[in-house]
Amino acid sequence: MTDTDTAIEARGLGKRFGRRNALDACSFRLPAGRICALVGPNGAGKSTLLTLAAGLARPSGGELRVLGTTPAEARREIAYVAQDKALFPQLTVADTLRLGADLNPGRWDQEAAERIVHGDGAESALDPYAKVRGLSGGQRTRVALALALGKRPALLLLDEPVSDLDPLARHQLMGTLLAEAAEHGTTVVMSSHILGELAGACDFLLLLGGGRVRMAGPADDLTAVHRLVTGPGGAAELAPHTVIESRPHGRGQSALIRPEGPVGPGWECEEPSLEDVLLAHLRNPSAPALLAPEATVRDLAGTGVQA
Amino acid sequence: MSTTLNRATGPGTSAPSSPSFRTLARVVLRLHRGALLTWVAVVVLVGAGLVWLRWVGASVVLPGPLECWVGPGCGPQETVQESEMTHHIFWLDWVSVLLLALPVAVAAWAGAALTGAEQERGTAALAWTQSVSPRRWIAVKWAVAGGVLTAGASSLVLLFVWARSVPYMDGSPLDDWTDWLTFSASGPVAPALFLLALTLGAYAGLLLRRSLAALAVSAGAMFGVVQGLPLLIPHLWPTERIFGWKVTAAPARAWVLSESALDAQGRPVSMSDCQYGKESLVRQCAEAKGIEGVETLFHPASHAAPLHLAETALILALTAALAFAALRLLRRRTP
Repeated sequence: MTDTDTAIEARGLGKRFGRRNALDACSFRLPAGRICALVGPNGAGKSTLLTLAAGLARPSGGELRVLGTTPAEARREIAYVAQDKALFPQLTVADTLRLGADLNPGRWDQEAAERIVHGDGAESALDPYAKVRGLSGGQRTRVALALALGKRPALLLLDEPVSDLDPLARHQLMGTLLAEAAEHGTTVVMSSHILGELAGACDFLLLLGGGRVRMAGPADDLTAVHRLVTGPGGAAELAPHTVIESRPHGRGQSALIRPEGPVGPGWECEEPSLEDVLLAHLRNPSAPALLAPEATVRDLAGTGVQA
Repeated sequence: MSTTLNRATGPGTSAPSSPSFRTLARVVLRLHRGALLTWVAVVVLVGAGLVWLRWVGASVVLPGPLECWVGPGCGPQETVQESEMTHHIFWLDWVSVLLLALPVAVAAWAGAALTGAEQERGTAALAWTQSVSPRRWIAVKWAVAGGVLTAGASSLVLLFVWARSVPYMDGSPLDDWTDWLTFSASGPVAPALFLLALTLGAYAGLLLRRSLAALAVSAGAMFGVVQGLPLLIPHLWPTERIFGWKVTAAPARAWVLSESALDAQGRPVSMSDCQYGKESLVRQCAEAKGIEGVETLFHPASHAAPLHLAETALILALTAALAFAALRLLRRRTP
């Protein structure tokens, strides 16, 4: 690996299904070691991007490098959990983990896998001899995640990982997952609709919309370049700042802006939460794209950050 | 299996690598355990049936010389052990039918379960995101299933040939090698058909990504192949030709393809209105129509081996083409 500090790098990445562009000229960089939230409305291209990174499909255009090489070359170091949590229904839980051990020689960590399967107590523990076909959705999620974590990946790609878990189990499993990732410096990319869950867990954000990158960068940087302003005036008074979203607030306006300088007097100004920034961008698909320097493809830096 | 959960396999015990063929083969057999057991049961049952048929056939004694038995008979001493012989012939026929029907079932299974279901359920993605590439995964699946199928089919073919080669069959007109069922079941053609069925099903499953659709398409196509191939068999090797006035000039046990009366230009002429009882009258009638003689095209019994090999080669060529198409499809779809 030549580029050890980059987990994923896309240059002009495109994927077409028939006449529809699932991904269109996406360029971004995800530094290694980050927990990245992959966000976007339905059909934004999130699953497509994860499939391409997992080496399950070929891009129609552009280039995608994963862990400094091609997705196919990096296969051994990538783990992927698909949205449908597909597992072999005829195997037992123990057999499924054995499959992971057999198919990942020299990498497999049985203890890590069992920690996920067993959960934190006897109540949540799965019977290792239960057939996968008889498990509930949440139990299958646990087995699928155990298979992924047992591989000890350098890059963990999760498509809607915990959407079918109850809030308690979700919280507990996310905790285990992130602890494992932190311990081993695993880069995690996680798509989800549950913004709150991502905001707490992720330190990097990739927002897709209509197959394009709309926002990418470290969570702190993204919140830092935005301001939540409240004031008596109209949105027009906020020029020259870029207004992402504005709405009536009492007698005046409340707006999320990217300030281009000091905000004028009379506006109450605070730093938004990541959730505020995300929601504003989701509500306004025409907001200009924003790539933080860290999320910019390296030798394209400076030539234009707009995806 | 009870040791699985307790096995202390820490990371870094050895360098990360791709799983070996043996490991992958074990995984594939575990995933398709049901199909494997079914196949073993079929081979064991049919094999046992063939051993029994051999025993039945060996106990058949023809009353008197062969000519007596197959011709008009030699008088009152003719008391054939009808039941043993009928059993032997009847059940051998059924085994040959089964040996040609099983590839259709194999094609259906390969399309539905081996690749189609994996594509439909998304378990293909599960396998392909372990340390094994899509092409390797499919290739190992194909190789393991192909090995198991070929081994089973070959043993059944050997047992079938053995069960047929009993004394009373030897040289008897009942031993008709030109019957396409018998022909296909008693040589390398049958195992090759199993390989073709497997490859056809695997390709259909990959192409259609739906197990039910792949099942229907591959079973239908394989049925067509099994039905259509026999029409090609006699044309896979050059025939021998006899020209003259003798009708039924071909040697004994030959596979006669055509007998046609030809005129001086070599064009076939109908003899239908020369149906006379006496040969001289027939000849007179034929000569009056400008017929120069009768051409007989046939395969002597010695052509059995080359015909077998030619048909096997044709089936294997088809198999190779489908395997190539399947790998190309995977290469186009996945990196």
